[in-house]
Amino acid sequence: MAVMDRLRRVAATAPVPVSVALGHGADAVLAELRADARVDVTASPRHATVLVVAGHVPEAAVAALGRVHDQVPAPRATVVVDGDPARLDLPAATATTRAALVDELVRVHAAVVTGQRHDSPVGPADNPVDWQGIGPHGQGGEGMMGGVPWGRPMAMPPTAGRDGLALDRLALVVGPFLAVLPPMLEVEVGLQGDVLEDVELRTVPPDPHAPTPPPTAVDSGLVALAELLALVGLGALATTAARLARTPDRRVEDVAALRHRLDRPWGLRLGTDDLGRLDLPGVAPDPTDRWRDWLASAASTAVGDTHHAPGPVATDEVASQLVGMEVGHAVLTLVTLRPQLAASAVAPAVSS
Amino acid sequence: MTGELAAPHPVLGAVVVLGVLLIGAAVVTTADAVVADRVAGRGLGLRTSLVRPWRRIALALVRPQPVTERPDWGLWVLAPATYVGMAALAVSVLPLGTDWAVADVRTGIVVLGSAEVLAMVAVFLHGWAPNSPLALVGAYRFVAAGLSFLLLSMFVLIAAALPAESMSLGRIVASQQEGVWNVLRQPLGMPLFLVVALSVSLHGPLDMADGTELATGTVAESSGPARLAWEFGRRAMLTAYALATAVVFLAGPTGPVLPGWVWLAVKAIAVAVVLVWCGHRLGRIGIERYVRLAWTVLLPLSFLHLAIAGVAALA
Repeated sequence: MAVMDRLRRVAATAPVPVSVALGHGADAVLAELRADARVDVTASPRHATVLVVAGHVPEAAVAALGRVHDQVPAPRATVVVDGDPARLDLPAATATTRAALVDELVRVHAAVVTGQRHDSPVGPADNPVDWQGIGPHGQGGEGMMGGVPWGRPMAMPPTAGRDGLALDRLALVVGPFLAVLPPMLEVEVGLQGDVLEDVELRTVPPDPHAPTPPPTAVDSGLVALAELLALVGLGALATTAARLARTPDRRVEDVAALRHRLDRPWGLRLGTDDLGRLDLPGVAPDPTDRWRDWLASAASTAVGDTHHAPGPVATDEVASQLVGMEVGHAVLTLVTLRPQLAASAVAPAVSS
Repeated sequence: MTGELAAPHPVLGAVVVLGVLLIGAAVVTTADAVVADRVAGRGLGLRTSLVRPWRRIALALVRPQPVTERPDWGLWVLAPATYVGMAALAVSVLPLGTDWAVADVRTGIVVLGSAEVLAMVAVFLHGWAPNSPLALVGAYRFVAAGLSFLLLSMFVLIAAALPAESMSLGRIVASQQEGVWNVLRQPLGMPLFLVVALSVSLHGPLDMADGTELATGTVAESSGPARLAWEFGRRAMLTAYALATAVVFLAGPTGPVLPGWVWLAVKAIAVAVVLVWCGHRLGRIGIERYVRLAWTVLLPLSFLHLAIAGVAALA
């Protein structure tokens, strides 16, 4: 016990692994978390001790938020930034402000790790659909591939003429809180292996009388760049981008220095060159050009020019161009459209 | 050094291999933390950079493993154990001193290749076991990449065996002592082998199974000690391949004055730091681009490399 107590005390001083559930208008909080060395932003809720809820979460996304909450391994805690935990059906969560967020996270994390805090699950203890428990493997149907356990479509539907070689279609819905996707984006895909056979994108719009988020000096293009960098495994450079994003009086030399590090064949371009071109109105066709645009915009605002927010894109047109892509490739493409998709969630674009 | 190596008692050998992997994983973890903080420009100071990874390890030890829907628990436990086992297998055939290896087998490069193949099985099982879609996609993706880098590894290792006229890693070191180190004699070999090292150890730009775009892929559902075991496996594998690179291309334990194992450690740490640095400066390449690059550029290069080594051996 003494050893475990000692371990817990040391663990309490570790950087806080947080899973971030982003609503609308939460870029400032995300940049704050990415830039702070006391916090590790995780790509999976399984790796977190604390769930941070930031921005406006619409009513339609509250149930999904509850599922993400329960995916953080117990003991866990939730911190809601500038919001009401009760409205989100998270009564045990701590409410805090953006200014006090990281200090609060350090305190809550220590309480979780030392056994003084645990937020109960908000969803049912077991799956809402009963396990059917029939079939030779309890899979819920006849034969090895029969049945639909817990009502969930399987990767192995009973297809006639199977030759045992072709993979079957896997239906999958991810979002609207998947950390690697732009906020409030829900993606329904049919996967053949790791290739997208069909795609549907849905954004969750704000509630009709949602409060307008307060204006911030955070550069949304640089926040998107930080997320893209984290996505291709360049977490340390993501910290640099996030720090620049939240600095109101950022220097153009610092933006140029970051671009110098990234814009080379073996830098970020290793991950974004050859991703495939998109044909969307108002969007640079090449993914590398899209993040170059973010840096160019950050450089121009650093010298006092006005920032022009990107317009929305039609999600059905984006979806049609994702068909046939490898799943990781599609996620990267969506992240390079982060500012446009965020605009679409607030004011949807009409298909051309 | 004649290439004939002494072997310690098997129990002592097992202890040595485990010790090498533990120390290697600690070195890789520390190097990773220091390089990450330097690249991020956090200005935390060296002491903080050195302490933070150990705090994360303490945290992992006190966190629980969540239960997914109908996982295959047996495979979930077996996968990291197998992966670490393959790193241990690779280390066991490497000359760790001037005149000894844990297991001096005449077909050392075949054992090294076998470790890579079985590591591929371990990674696949790690993605399969949690019964989770993104983890499974990571597993399939690694198999697709594996077919590319396994051939690369085979050609590079055979080319290194040609001047030694033996598949024994002890003889490969001896041939470099008698002539020129392979890093100079076979200049394409080391860069190609580093591609294999990054791929098989799931690091940096070639981490195909555990990418962030898949919410960390095969490790997306792991937490606590289970995740720690997998992360240890990745670092142990990087250690094994840093050592293998030092042996095959940098004459392993060869060097003046200091004991052979010190020279090997210095060379392997240098290789590991280069690989870790790559992970923080090079963006992860997409699987399609990687496979295309592997089959159209890297494999033809490795075949050319083998052909040149063959002609040089006959000359």
